[in-house]
Order: sequence, then structure tokens, then C-alpha cells
Amino acid sequence: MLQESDSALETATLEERFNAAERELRLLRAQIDSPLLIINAAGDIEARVVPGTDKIAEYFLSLPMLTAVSFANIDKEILNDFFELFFDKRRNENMLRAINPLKKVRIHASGLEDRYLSFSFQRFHDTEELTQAIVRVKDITRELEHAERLEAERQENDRKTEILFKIIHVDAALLAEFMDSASSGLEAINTALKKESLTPEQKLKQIARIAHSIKGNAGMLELDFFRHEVHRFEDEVRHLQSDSTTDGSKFITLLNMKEGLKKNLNDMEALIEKLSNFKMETGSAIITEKTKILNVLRQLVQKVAQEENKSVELDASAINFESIPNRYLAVVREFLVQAIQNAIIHGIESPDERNQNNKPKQAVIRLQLAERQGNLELTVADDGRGLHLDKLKQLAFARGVSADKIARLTPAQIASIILVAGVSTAAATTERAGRGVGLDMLRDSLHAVGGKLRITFREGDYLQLTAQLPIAS
Amino acid sequence: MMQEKDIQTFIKGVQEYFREYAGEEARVEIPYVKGSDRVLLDYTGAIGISGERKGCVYFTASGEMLDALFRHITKAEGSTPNDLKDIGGEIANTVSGNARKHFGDAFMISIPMLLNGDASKFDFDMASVSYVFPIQWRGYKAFLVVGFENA
Repeated sequence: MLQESDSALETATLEERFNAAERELRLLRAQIDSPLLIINAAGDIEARVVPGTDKIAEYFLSLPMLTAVSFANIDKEILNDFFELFFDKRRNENMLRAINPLKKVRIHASGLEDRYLSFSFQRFHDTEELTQAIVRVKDITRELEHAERLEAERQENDRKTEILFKIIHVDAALLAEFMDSASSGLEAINTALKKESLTPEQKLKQIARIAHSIKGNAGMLELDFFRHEVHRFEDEVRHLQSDSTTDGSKFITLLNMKEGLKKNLNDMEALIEKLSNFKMETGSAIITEKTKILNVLRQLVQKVAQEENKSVELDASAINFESIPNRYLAVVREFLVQAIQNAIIHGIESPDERNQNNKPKQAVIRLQLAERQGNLELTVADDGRGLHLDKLKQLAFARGVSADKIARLTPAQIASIILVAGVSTAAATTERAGRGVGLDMLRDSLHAVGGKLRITFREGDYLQLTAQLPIAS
Repeated sequence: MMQEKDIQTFIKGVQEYFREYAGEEARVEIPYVKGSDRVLLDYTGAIGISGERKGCVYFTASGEMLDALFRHITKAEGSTPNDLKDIGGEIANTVSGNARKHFGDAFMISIPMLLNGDASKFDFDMASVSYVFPIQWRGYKAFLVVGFENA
């Protein structure tokens, strides 16, 4: 009887202890906010605790460790090597944390949003043999998103600071004019994209031309951040052209880049408004531009010459910008920027080469403006190497012109090859040269206002580009 | 700025519908940025987006396209305006279903709203920038308009 009651007491005590232990375990489990696993040395999951209703954790943890990880695109061999080192007691656990290949794992499960999980490993030290480890699984998706947002904000602030720095150093009237023309250019790009009558190839060709013009204008004002963005945009256009794609879904990047440029313009406008001492003298903007355009061209010569390691002087004694009608200002600026850049990059030799050819080390670019037979003639002449006819013949041959036909071409006809879209004699594409969309675009811009482009040269001696513009409107 | 992969999800929704039911893929033509003009054809299925992003995605098609689709799918001789509205609704449903599957809880996608003709009833809040993707199928025209931004 006594024995029976002892046994009952023992059972009751055991039950009480079991219930207490279970309660403690439940309490402990409730404190766990991320999944915990126990794995063996082969990486197999032996036990798991998954809190709440974390669907992706459940999904992921329902798979054996290695399968799951191979699903997450981690190299199995790397993971095996890691486990081998981790379960080797001689290795330092802290050092192994540094090479943990599962610190950031992207998980993609059908029907669920992509997530990032981080796995951290801790050895079990309660036995002689190291056979098990605890793995904590943490969802770091939000943390990463937050870090990305902070990084994006930092970049955005840097970008705005750069914009601010640049615009306070640029003449207000020229800047206003640039923003107007860039804004119209971006509109024109959208119009080209929308125009149903154009083929994709024609659309891209038009867009390339407009972008090139915007880039030239940004370069003239040394708005490098903008010029750089337009250059990337041009890269994307070129990429789409080489793909010959007609699939509209491939154009999303291009649209996003265009909107990025528009955002830059909007930000510039907003910053200008905020600068209380920045007075936009819009009434005299045109006159101011004419008087200041020369200073800007001098800066352009200095900058491009420095980039190209060349020594160049700009002689503008024979030009008076006041005699250029307002309606031609945009095309004149485009012509001067393109012609001067071309002269420095392609025409003018390096100081050493000039020295070997008995030329002064410093090259000269002369600007002239004259009236002839009802036309204004604006000339940009450099004393560089002129045109290399053999090189142009090779380009013509490479583009499919027969050797017979090339042999019959006059020097003037050969020279006109540089007006063909896509032809460039630059060795590589840079932000300023090499796309072969400069002179052909310039010729088209001049044609659009009733003007012409003329090229005269002597091989080894000089090259002269002349824009003829009708005086009568 | 809209993410490319997010936009692709909506395009794929439309393509999936045509691939499955129309017997021929729909061609997505070169997109452009929507201006102040209303890009609305005869029948429109629109989905509102809220949550982390806000905006609207809609598919708008000519009656001719939906009529041809209806007759292709049902082998019927002709169609009524209600039939065409139903087809427009099915496309919008496929687009929204695909989006829900892809985005999970990042986007809250509304049940498609269907309109025929009357543009004045279109009262979705478009984002400040929307992209217009012209869609061509057997010479018929439609547009997918996608516009959302961070809330």
C-alpha cells in the first residue's frame, strides 16, 4: 500500500517536472525569433525550430541542408569544404566565421518574393567528438534593403552636391539655354520612340543623334556629370542597335535612363531656384550668350587639349558673334563644339609628332566669320594633319565599297566619307569621340536650317570645316 | 524609378495570356513615356497598385482586337460588347494574377476594374511617370500602360 502511494507520488512528481520542463521549453521557443537548426558534420539537418508562420523559412528548412543550399545557387563543393573545416576541432571557430559561404544567401521559391537569409554556425562543445552544430537562420532581406536605400540616398546626395557645384560655376544664361535645349532634346527622343512611322532602326538612329548633340552641349559647359550620363545613354542606344532588336521590352533600360536624365534636369532647375543670389537675367539671355560663348569655347579647347595631351591655341580674332542671327545660335554652337573637338582629337598631332614634322609644338585653331554670296560662312580651321586619305579609303573598303570604285574617287569624294554615319577614325570610343555620329549629324543639323557643311584640307597641313548659313531667312 | 524586372512582370502577364489563348504571341513594340494624353482604346482593364508602391497598370485594346480574340478562343461567329468586356477582363486578370504571384506582399494589387469606351470613368491615380508599351497581335493594336512609384 505504502509502495503504491510512493510510486504514485513519484509519478506525480515526474509529471510535474515534465510539465515544468515543457513549459520552460515552450517559453524558450517563444523567445526565439529566427529559425534554429541542428546539423551534423555532413550538413544534414537533424533538428529544427521554426518560429511563427515564416513561409519561406518553412519551405527552405523543409529541404535537407545541402539540397536547399544548392537550390540557393551556392557551390556544393565550397559548402562541403566549409563543413569539413568547421567540424575539425583544430580550426579556430572565429576565423571560420569569416569564410562562411552562407552569410548572405538569396532564396527564390516559386510564388514567393525573393528573400535573403543569413546562416551563422556555432559548434556544440558538450561531447568529445565534434559531430553537431547549431545554425541560426536570420532573414536579412529588410536589412539589405535598408542598406541599399541608405547607399542610394548617399549617392543621390553626392549627385546633387556635384550638380550644385557645377551650376554655380556656369554662366546663368548659358545654363538656362542648355537646360531648355536638353529638355527639348529629351522630348524629341520620346517623340522618336513614339512615332509609329519610324522603324526601330530609324528611331535609334534619330535618338543617337539627339543624344550626341545634348552631350556636346553638356561638354561645352563642362557639366561632366550630365555628359557622362548621356554617354551611358548612348552606350545603351548602341547596344540596342547592335542587337537589332524589335522587342519593346528590351527598351526599358533606355526609358529609365532617359527619365534619369530628365530627373537631373529637374534637380538642376530646383537647385537653381533655391539659390537666392542666382539671378536669371532671362531678358538679356541671348545677348549674354553671344558675348560669353567665346569664353566657353576657350575653356573647351583647354579641357579637350589637356585630355588629349596636346597644346592648342584658339584664335578668334576674326569672328564677331554679335553678327550671327539669333535663329542660328543653337546650330552655330553645335557646329563650333563639334568642329573644335574633332580638330583637337582627330586633326591636331601630338607635340612630338608636330616637332618631327617641323611644325610649332602648339597647334592653332582659327575661327572666322565672313559674308559671301548671301551666306554667312563660319569656319573652323586647324593646322593639324588634315585628312588621311589612305585611312579613309580603307574605311570605305571595310564598309563594302569596291576597290575599283575607290580607285576612281576624287580626294573630295574620299573626304566626304567622314560625313557618313558610323564612320570614325578615332581608335577607340571615348565620351568625346569614336562613335562616328559627329559630322554627319552636324551636316544634317545645318541642312535643317537651310545651310551646308564644306570640308577643305591638305593632307599633312590643315583641315577646314565651313558652315554656310543663308543670310535671308 | 520603376525597376525593369517589375515592369517585365506585367509585360509577361500579357504575353502569357496571348501565348496560352490567342494561338500566336503578341508582339511588344518599342515603348515610350506617356505624356498628358490619354492612352485609352475601346476596352480597358485597369489594376490599382498600393502598398510599398503606388500607381496603376492597365491594358487597353481596340474592339477589333478583342473581337478577333473572342472569336479565336470561342470559335463563335460574332461577339457582343459584353463578350469583349469579358475578354478584356480576362487579360487584366491574367496580368494581375501574374503580378500577385511574382510580387507577393510587396505590391497590393487590386481586382481589375473594367471600362468600355467611357474614359471619364477612368479614375486611377497614375504615377508621375508611366511607360506605354504598344502591343500588336495579328495586326490589331493594344497598349499596356505601366506606372508606379515608391509610396
